[in-house]
Amino acid sequence: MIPLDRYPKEITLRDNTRAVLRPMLPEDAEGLWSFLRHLPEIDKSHFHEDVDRREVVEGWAKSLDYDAALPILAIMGDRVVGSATLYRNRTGWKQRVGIVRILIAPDHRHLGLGTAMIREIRHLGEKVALNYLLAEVIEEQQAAVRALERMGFEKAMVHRNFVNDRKGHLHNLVVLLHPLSGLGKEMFY
Amino acid sequence: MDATPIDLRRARRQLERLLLEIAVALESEDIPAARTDLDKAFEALNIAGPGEEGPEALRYLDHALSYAHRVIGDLLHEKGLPPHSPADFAGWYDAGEVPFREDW
Repeated sequence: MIPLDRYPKEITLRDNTRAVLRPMLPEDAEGLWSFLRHLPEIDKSHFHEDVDRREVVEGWAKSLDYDAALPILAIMGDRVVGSATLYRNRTGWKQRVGIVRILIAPDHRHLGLGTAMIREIRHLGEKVALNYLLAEVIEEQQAAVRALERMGFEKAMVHRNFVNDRKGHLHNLVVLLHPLSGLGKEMFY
Repeated sequence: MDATPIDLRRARRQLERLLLEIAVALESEDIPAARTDLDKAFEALNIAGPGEEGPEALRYLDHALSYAHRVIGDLLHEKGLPPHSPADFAGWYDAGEVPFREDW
């Protein structure tokens, strides 16, 4: 069970505006859909479903399972301006690897919000004793790559012409890993 | 401008004091990632030991400072305070401009 007693958590951005971080709730469907609709196409490439469709996001909101996917939203007023999701496997060989996806509204970049959300995911990853956090980023998203690297993620590999966007154009995929403190404590071999 | 052995010794002492103060601030906080980064900062500082000189020592002092900045960032974040920025320290740099800006 992932500990959530630190939420809602208020943070201050670089311009001294404040945002609230908290787990997504079913009633956030509309706000999340509005946020996702206004993201650049390249930021939505990784979704398996068409997030521009309201019913897709409503479906997520009705079936939230924090142990599998914990979306932390950044909210200013009544608007979602950021989202950081930690995906985990309950069993299997990758159960100690958490996958990270972070999205920031274009008009709220360069304020430290992305970095703040990476910090949250790092904290949550440590609390549930993951060994690694893994982030996959399209290479053109250099701001995201740099923010992840500054927070301790290291480039593990770059897959050339590996993923396609919604228009079918191919992009390089950067895979970054962040080892967590649990890694050194448990060695079976 | 190259760092002299005296510069390195002074930097090392200041950095050690900074890390110790950060350790005190971290005692009352539950930030496992920050504790790990602080350990890495001390590790880097120890590699750039008192008798070490030259570019390698400077590099490890830089590593230690980078980890320290990350821990400071975690502490500020935990308290809901604004993030600190490299621009805040611009007056201390010899370089013409700040190394990087917050991109994200």
